[in-house]
Amino acid sequence: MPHVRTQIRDAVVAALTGLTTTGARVHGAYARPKGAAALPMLVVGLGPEEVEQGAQRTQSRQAELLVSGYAKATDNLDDTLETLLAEVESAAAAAGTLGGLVPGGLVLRRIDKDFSTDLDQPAGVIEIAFTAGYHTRAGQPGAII
Amino acid sequence: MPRFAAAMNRVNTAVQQHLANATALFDGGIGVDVLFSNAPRDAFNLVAGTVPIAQAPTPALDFVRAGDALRIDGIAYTVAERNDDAGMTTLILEAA
Repeated sequence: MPHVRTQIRDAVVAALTGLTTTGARVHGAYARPKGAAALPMLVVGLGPEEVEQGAQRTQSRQAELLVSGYAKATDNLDDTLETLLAEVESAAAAAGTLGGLVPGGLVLRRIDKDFSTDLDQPAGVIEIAFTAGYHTRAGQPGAII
Repeated sequence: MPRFAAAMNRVNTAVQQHLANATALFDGGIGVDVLFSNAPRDAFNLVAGTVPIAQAPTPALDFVRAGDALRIDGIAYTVAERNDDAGMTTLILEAA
């Protein structure tokens, strides 16, 4: 069984697939650079994770889930990124516990934006960081408890 | 100039004379025949795009520095970067 982290990532990809602005352009793993036809897009990944050891070999985990929205446009780039943010926040809330994987749901922690004028059109990224808390037993990272 | 470098410059110049498709006009009225094209580049490692570039043998572009202004086909650019390699210089341009 895949690690719960992987299950969370896949569940988030599923929850974010079909949003108005990004549609099916949601990637759960490293993606190659995408051109205008494949943008805007979302990339979902899990980052650092804190693990607290509990009684009876239980582990309480807090993983950072990062959803990055990418867009490239001559006009309204900032508006597009803000729209991605609104859609992702709403979908993350609607996803609830991700089928029980994250009992407390995804908790929004940080939002950041960056822009690049290096290309033929301005490009931007909005990073939306959540905390995903879940519980496992030591040595059994593929099963939630 | 060492023999190999001189030979490389002759080859680069000959190739350039056949491939040049534009003239870059720098301040002071200096014109340099260049190979003008769009090169692939990405931002944030994930967003693909292109940037305009101008290439010519390094001796022809020795005077050019980042920040210099030029015009190609009537469009104003600024030199964002200059890369020298194997006797050829590539200027990465930004629309001014």
